[in-house]
Amino acid sequence: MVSTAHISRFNNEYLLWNLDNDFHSIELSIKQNGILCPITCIEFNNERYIVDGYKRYNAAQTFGITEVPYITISPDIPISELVFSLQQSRIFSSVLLKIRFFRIFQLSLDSRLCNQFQLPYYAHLKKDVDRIFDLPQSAQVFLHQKGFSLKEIVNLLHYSRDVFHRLLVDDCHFQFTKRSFDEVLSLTTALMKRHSLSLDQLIEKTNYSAIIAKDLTPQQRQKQWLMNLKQDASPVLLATQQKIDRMIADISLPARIIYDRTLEHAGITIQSRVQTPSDLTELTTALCDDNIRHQLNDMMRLI
Amino acid sequence: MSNTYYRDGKKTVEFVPYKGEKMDTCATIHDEYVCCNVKVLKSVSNCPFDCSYCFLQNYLTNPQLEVVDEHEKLIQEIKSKIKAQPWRFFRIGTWELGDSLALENETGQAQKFIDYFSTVNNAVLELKTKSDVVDPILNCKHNQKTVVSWSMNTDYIIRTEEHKTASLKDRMVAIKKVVDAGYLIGLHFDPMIMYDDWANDYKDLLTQLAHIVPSNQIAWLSIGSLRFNPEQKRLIENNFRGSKLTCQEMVKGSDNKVRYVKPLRIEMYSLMFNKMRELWGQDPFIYLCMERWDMWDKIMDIQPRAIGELDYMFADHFHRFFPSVNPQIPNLDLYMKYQST
Repeated sequence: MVSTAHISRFNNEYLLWNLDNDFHSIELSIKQNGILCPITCIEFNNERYIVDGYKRYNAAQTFGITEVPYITISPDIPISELVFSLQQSRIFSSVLLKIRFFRIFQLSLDSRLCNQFQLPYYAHLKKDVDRIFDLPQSAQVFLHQKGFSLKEIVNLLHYSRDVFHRLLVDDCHFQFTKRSFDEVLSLTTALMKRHSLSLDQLIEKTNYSAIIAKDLTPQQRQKQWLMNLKQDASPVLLATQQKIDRMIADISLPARIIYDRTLEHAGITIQSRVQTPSDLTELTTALCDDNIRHQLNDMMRLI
Repeated sequence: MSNTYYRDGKKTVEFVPYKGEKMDTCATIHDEYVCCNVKVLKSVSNCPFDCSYCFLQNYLTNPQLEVVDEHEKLIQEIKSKIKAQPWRFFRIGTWELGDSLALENETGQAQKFIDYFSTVNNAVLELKTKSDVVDPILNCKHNQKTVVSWSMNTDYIIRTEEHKTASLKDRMVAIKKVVDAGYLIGLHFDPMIMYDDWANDYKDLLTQLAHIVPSNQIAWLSIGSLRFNPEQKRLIENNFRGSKLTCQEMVKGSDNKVRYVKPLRIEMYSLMFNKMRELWGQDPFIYLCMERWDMWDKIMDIQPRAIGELDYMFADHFHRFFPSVNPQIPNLDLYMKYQST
């Protein structure tokens, strides 16, 4: 039977694992018609606990709706199982929600539970889960919204904590994807370690503040900062590439010279489209030119 | 995946029965890199040491430290395989998945292998270690058919990255003992690792070694540099938080492993190669581990293009410099024809 009660009479502690505070999808409907579908509760010790209707409850609070319709259920199963049954698809939508669900209900992480929640079971899983749960709420929301997997989150935790939090704060300027967030975090951490720099020193070195201040799209900012970081991360490779590129530019060969820019594969590719006999003569003459051959040899020594 | 943490598996030794074939080709073999075609006997799995760069972190699915205790069956397998290719000079190491000597006091395994190899004509045993456990093998009758090798690094790298291994000083004492016992010696400078004073430290290391290892007892010297795949990078970063190994300038190769960029590797290898030649002369056999032929060309001015060719070069070197260890003249055609076996 549907009843109504004052919003202050509800307790939402069994749904606090949820990180989805976005109720835009029901905003219009609730503003116009109030809460039509009652929220689901269980009652004990004179308390009314919400087990389904988290968005509706939050929306009511936000829009100042004081009287909330509800129904009460009383199935004879543990509360964690009840919430799991009602919220399974939401819990399964992100690893962060799974982890928060474990912690709110103090479930012990064993192989059976991992199997049920489709998580890998390994020796230091508990340690990893604790580290993730101990992240600030803003970090958890970020990782949840970007859809990081457990493995990806654990990988992110290897990087510098300072950088991690700085990037979270500045995400509005960059709008990182999972991949770009990981790449930037990895490069930044490596550079700080390699040169024993603080985050502030690295930020200054890579022109970070200027990039943020510039009138650019988030994608353009990402691209520029990544380029600055990469230049710092690969000085030897970039210098060698520039040297080879200059040498190529100096060789007057009627052909395109290509090389593996990682320098791992030796040799060069000489590419030319020969359309007429005179094209062929021009190419072979150039290749027989001692000066050009010396230039090519010198260049090949660098690859 | 095993739910035993990989470090927990290192704490106790488990003796296990012989199961399946144990002799194989070194796991790092790859078409685009010149591999030396060394054979490996997987008689031990996992290692009591804890080197930050160790590939076992990523490679082993079962982290339990295990030793195969049925050495007769292992020897039987070796026997049948080397008999099947009598023209080949085999190099067989027991270091693929662990350290050849670290557990010798507990297992006595190396002594049994040394004893067996002393009697064979077309193979040498390689015992490679980062330990100083050599006393149990000093009095073995080896006939120079066993090469005792050390994975060597600078004092700084041993202290910061090769956790729980013997110190440089202790390794030097152990090497001297083994030299005095008449064994052939292998020295592997792999992985070379870059840090601020790497060049001076590696040169000093070679100079110290040249005082105790005579040229005529050197079976081989190898040079290689730090490399790891992306999964291992994550594991190093997770298991060794303070390590700077993964933050250097590296590029990914065709084998999906990252290495220092080529100009840096050329600088490192050239320094080592030139110093080795200066200290030990032209005779010792020096090779690069898992590099393309063009690196050999740039560093040593030789161009082995195939696995069979390098395998042959080892056999030829032994025949010329240690004829009692490899008495037969190697046939390049056979090495090339059967290079993938």
